[in-house]
Amino acid sequence: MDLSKKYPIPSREEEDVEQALGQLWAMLEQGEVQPDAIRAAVESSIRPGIIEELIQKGLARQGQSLELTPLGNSVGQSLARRHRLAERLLKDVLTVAEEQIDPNACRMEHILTADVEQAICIMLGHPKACPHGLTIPPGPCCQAALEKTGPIVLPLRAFKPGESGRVAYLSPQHRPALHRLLALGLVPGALIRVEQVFPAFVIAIGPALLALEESLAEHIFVRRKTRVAGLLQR
Amino acid sequence: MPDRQDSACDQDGKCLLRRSIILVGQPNVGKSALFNALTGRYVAVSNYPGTTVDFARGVGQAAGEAAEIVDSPGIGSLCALSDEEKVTQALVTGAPDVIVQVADAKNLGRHLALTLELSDLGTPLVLCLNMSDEALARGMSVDRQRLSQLLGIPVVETVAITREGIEELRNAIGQAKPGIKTDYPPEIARALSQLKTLLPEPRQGLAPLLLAGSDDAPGSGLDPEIHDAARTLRRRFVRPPARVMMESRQEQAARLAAEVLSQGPGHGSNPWLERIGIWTLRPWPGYLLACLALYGLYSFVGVFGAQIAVEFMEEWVFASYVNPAVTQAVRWLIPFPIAQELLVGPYGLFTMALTYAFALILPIVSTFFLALGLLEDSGYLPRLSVLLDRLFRLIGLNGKAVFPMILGLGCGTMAILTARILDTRKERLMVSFLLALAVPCSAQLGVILAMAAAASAWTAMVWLSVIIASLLATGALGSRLIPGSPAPFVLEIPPLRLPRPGNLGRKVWARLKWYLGEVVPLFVYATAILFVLDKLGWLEQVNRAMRPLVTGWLGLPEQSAQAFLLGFLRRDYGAAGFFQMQRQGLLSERQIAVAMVAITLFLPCVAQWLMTLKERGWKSALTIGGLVTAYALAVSSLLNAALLWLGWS
Repeated sequence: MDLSKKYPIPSREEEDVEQALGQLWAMLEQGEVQPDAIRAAVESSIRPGIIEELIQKGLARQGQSLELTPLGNSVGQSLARRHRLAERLLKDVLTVAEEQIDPNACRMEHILTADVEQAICIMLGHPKACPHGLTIPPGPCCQAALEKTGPIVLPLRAFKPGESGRVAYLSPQHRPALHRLLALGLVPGALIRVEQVFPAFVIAIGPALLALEESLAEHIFVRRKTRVAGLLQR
Repeated sequence: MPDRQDSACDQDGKCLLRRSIILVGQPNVGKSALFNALTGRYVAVSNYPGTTVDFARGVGQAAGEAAEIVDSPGIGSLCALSDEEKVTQALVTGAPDVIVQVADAKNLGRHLALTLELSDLGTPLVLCLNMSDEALARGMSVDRQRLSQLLGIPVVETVAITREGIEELRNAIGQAKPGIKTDYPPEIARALSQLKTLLPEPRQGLAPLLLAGSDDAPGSGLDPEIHDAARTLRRRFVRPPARVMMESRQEQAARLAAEVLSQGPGHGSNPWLERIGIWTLRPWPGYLLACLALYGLYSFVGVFGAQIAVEFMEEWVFASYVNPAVTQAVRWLIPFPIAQELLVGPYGLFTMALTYAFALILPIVSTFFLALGLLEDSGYLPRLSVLLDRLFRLIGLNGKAVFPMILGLGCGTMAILTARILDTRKERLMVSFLLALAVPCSAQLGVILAMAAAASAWTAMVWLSVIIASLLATGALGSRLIPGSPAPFVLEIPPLRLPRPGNLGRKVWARLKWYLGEVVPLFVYATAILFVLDKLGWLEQVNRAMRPLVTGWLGLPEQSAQAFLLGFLRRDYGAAGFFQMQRQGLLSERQIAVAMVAITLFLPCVAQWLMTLKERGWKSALTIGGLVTAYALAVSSLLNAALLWLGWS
């Protein structure tokens, strides 16, 4: 394939290695420590012998436990970042059907160049978590200021009174508070309107009024109703 | 303010009735109003989330026979967070015969999510859409038949407060059925079915709760192995299963709601109320309105209740008519001097206990209960908590603490119970401490306001600044000393409603009845004890023993000792003692200021202290008791010294 010179469409081999590193990274991120369990999971989903291949290529090493080398780690982390960003893009902006998100993200993650990855991240407003609630590893662009880019998905805290939008996702650190918010109807997809922001945030969800403090408003991400978002939604 | 009493059930909670029915639902949907309508009993109904913090039992007709009906504190989801939600969780998982879910027809989607969660328990269920009048006013109508089909349970519409639809609900309880099971994602469904194989047949409905991992409360008496199994299963998930399950329920609920809800043009609720409702939340004019509300409260309770009404009752009714008449009657009927003295002497049951109770305190608590009822029923309190959230966060609490603190101005004992609506142990502890230290109850506050009104404006200012400074300083210090941070503030704001005179009247009457039933006897006992102490000559000794403290440190007259003694039995009784001394001209301005500060800061009454002990444990209660005594003594003595130094006589 000649095209692979212009576009970084990886070979099957390369994709497998990337995929394995991504999966390994995610399992280690989730705190899985049993080397046998990791090996079994990765090999069954990709192909037998892939772990040995990673070790030979200097991307992973098997000591007391199975771990990634610095190079393997950066490839794996970057893949996880691209996968989760792709998921967000598919879900929040393209509103792709739920069952289509994962298969698409699994292909997209391999073909996103660094430039495209950054562009998506900026447009989404540097999201912190994927639709499943897993952390998106921050990229260099995330350190840059948000204000200039005019992101589509914003933390509720950035909203002004009178603005409205649809809840995209919630990522509060305080888990009980998250449950309470969900039970009060602040769920992904809910249409909300900001009534006031001081002394506490007051938002209207349908006929109900909900007051919450600023610190929580930082962790609620809302897709702002703008013309662009409206067009994209259609 | 006792809002519950048990009936038809013995002390172990065993009931003679065949069927037990639990009213469950999110906060502020009208469970208590429905309970009152079903049982004919009265528990407090207000327009703010968290009015009910403990369950109440009653008997009512349901499905053609008498049944036990239980009112429960509001709950967002069965994964309990705060103490009052745990009460409900325990009730619901304790195998009742029927669960009646009370929902607000206005916000159907999120209530249906709870319906699905309750359905999973497998207990026969009825869905009751309450406040259907408000939904109708907004043009919302629910296709009940369709909803009933989809959920597989009876669905009724009610307006509890006007008793609309109550008969239909009574009948529907007979047709209660276990509802449909939530459609969970395959991996959750698999985990649930694995858990179910471990659970005994009647308790299989607990599987979702166990998987969600609310480790502590549900499934008490279950094999510990089951909890281990649930923990192992939980670990297999990348995302917390509690959240995955909640999302599937929310999604299905939203679909259900979309299918049965139709929105027509509403004739709208009262547009003025809505506008005022928004104003009260905004900094401008919200803070101004809050000041006006507090000023209104002060004028009504402090001026009208504590001065005009008290003067009328004491100087006119009691001093001119009741006491002379009673004294004469007693002298004439009972020839024994000692009995005469017990009834009408200086420590007489009539001349002291009943005069204090009816002439001094009753007018004050009546006006306060009325004002508090207005605040509660209008839905103003949640708005106040939004305005004050930031202030409360300075002292390690959040806006929700407004509820126990304002109720504490009514009755500290009840307020300690209300502290259950706070999310963390730290907040509950802080509120219990501040209530004991610096929040005077209505009766006490009324007497103190009356003292302040009779003293100079300076004295009142001194009192107010010392109390507010104490609240802020001890709060800020305590919030640093007690580990943990307050839970983030989240609160649903109910619509502003015009209080219904009927509900308001019943509530004030229920609270007054409690006052008359529980407080007046305490006054009588306390006076009797005082009388005996006086006759035995021990009162003299107590006064003498406390003299260095009272006259030396605090610079108060010797007989103040007994006001402090009485204050511990009933804080208003103690304050009334000082008030009496002031009116007899026994106190100087400095002594009035010191007395007002001391009686506010000193230990709360026995009842509040016992409630603290029950709710917070003896360790916390003893610590609070010790700290409050030490602080009150230190600050009052310092104030005395400072005022002397400033040249107050």
